[in-house]
Amino acid sequence: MIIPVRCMSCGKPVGHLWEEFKERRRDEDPKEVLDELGLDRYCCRSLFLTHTDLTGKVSKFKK
Amino acid sequence: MTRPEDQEVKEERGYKMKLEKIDGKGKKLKFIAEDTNPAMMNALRRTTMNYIPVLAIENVGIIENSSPVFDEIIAQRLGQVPLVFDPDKFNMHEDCECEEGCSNCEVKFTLKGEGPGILYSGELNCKSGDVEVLYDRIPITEMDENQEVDLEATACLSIGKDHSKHQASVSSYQYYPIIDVDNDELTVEEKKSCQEICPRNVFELDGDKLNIENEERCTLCKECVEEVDSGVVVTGDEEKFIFKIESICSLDPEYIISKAAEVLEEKADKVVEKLS
Repeated sequence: MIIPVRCMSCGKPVGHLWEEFKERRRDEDPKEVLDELGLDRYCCRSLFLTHTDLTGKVSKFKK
Repeated sequence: MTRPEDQEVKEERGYKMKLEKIDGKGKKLKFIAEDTNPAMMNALRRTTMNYIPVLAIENVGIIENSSPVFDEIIAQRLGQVPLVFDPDKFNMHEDCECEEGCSNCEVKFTLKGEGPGILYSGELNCKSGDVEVLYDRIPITEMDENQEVDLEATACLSIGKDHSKHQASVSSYQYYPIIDVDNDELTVEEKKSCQEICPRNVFELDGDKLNIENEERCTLCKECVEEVDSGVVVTGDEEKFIFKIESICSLDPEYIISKAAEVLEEKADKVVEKLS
């Protein structure tokens, strides 16, 4: 839905990195982007690789 | 293994461990601790993670929220936003002289935004002015046209044991690796496969000799030991450790370690006090 503020497993703040990752993933190797963003552990990495933004779609419907 | 005579030597030293920083910049720190034991290291690890007071938003009062994210999710997200604060300035609620909450133990924030657009953590407005967010590009919610968010929040000091949003760091320790390589016992093929199988590139092949290059990188996985019949022995030093810490709040890892030592000392004093 919306990117978590912190990694669910280790607690590292990751929310602020999402927009850069989303932008750069289009024409760069995700592995290198994740390395440069400082996401070393596989918990944070899988969080970024598997996330889908859905707030834009959901906001059209009534809560 | 600890022999009785070693124990005496240890007691003479008063369990004073030697620390040596090997790596660390920004939020990460890695050091070697010598002349100590696993119990001490684990106590340090648990204290750095769970017993360092960290400021985080605790109460949120929603005045208006028509964004697609539910009120309670917004409150939960705000709680996780790391805040920059002066640790000496604030008291824990239970240690504060006041009963209802005062400027020494609480900080108030407001957050207001209108769509269309994303509402970021940077828009959190601190009323007392000396606390700010560590990262100002954390998305809190996304708003469409005619949607708005208006809320008030209160932050307070607490520890990681209480709630993981107050957790100060991610810490771990491991035995310092002792790698014994007997070059005479190994065949050339075995040496080569040892060097290739190691996931951390500990070994380096120098002609016919298998050298240990990056001893500190070894994680004691023992892939190399399984590769050969005999000649490679990997064990952990039970009195020497590699300690890794990554701060996940606004505090420096160096501060967290020294504060943890303080907290541990206080705890030990409390035990002595109760027993005497």
